[in-house]
Amino acid sequence: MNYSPDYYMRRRNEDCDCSQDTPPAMARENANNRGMGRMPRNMNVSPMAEAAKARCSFNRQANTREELDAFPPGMAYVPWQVWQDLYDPEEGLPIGTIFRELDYPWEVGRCKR
Amino acid sequence: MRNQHNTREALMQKIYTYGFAMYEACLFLDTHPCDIEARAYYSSMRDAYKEAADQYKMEFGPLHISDVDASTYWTWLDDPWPWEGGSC
Repeated sequence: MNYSPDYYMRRRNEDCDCSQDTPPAMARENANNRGMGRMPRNMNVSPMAEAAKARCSFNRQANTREELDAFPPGMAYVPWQVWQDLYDPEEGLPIGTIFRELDYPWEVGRCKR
Repeated sequence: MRNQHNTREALMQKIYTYGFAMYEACLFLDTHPCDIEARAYYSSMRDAYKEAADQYKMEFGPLHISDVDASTYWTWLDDPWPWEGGSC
């Protein structure tokens, strides 16, 4: 079955179980070992779980790179500006543009006059 | 003296305003070099800028280092500088 290029990007976090405190596979392993003295009881994360996380982290990076390579090259589109609807120069100077259609409510850097 | 100060400030404000409008038109014309209205706007703003700048230079001294006439004195040093109360 063919998925769209971003399918794996979207599913990446859902598919990976390393983000859980106790991955399902590790939980089963811990249950089998319980009481046999092979795992310290006070360990929050088992060495195998750590190894799984490290492996998963490595695979995640590799997967991300492969997934990005599957995307088409970026294409940007900027609407063509038309000479219209100007502010007076005196009005435009403190606003930062003479073009009314480019006057957006930026919160930072605007002249507070 | 007060009146002269106001005139100096008013002239500087015109220089800022028309200079800014001129550069706005420049940015537009870089991508729209054939736009008749934009070119007319640029010309009018440039004329207004030059008129204000020439008047300022005549009455209050050089705006740019290239405005300095060094034939009699190094007028670039004439007071007041912006941090000494000159308009800026």
